[in-house]
Amino acid sequence: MTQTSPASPASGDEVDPSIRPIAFGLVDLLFDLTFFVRELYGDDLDCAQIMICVNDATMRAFMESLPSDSEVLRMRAPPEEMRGSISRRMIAEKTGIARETVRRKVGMLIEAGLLAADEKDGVRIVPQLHDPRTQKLLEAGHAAVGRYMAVVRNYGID
Amino acid sequence: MAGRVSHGPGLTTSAMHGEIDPRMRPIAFGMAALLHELIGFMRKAYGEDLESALIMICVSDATMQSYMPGAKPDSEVIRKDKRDEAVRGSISRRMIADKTGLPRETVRRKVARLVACNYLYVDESGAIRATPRLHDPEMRQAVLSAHDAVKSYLRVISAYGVS
Repeated sequence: MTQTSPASPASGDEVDPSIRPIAFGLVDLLFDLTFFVRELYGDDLDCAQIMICVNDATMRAFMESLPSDSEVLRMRAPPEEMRGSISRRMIAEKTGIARETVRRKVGMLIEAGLLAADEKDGVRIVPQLHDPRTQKLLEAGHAAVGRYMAVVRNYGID
Repeated sequence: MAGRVSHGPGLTTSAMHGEIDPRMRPIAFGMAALLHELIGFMRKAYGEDLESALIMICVSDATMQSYMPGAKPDSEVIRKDKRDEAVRGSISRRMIADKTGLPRETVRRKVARLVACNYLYVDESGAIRATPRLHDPEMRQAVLSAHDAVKSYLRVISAYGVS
């Protein structure tokens, strides 16, 4: 099967031939990942986006420089001094959510025990990777990505 | 994890009380970036709440399932800008509720709002279809960006030896 670049040009009443297969694959992937997000973070899209943003900031601080065989990968929770944090202002900038909404929802998430404020008033995620339910959801999300790639590869897209 | 482990100068071991599967942290790290991008896509494509997004995803799937499986990569089905209505699928509100797990009344209310926004429409049999949007350059770009985000996820996890 000929591999198609996702950026192939289209003309007239034709659409880039990669678009429809990608859109088709995405609906299944988004269905699975929406379930994942609702299970982990509930039905509030703002809260989900804030949690994802803080999670990224917390992990990016140590993950990017981590060798693939690092013992940190096996830890239930990396030491606090390794973990990153993010200000409420930066969360608003990265997510596009209004600052007042971020302030209010971060307060709710801290109260729910999902986020924690550090000594500089930055926000970081409360470790959850040791939780079997979280691990199961992550495995399901990872498997959903694998199914997406199988779908688009079936149409010659890689 | 038994006993102390070394994880670099200046670090403490106080936070460590056991081990997790070493695949989990790279997957979680990659998934955070992927979800950030895909939620941006969902907000752009489907609006501002997760239940509406779930309904849109369910209807889009039903609309495309009728002609996409089995379509050849170079076929007209794949290349044509807009699909003929005759080949597009549809789904009832009851089936949306069954597939999403959302209460029927919620589905009825949210579908009505999505129809009013012209994201969905009701066909002649009363079933629901997704309004074609792949001819919109902004939507095409969003679809390609979502695909790039998936590829980026795969690159991130593979850097840690996770496949």
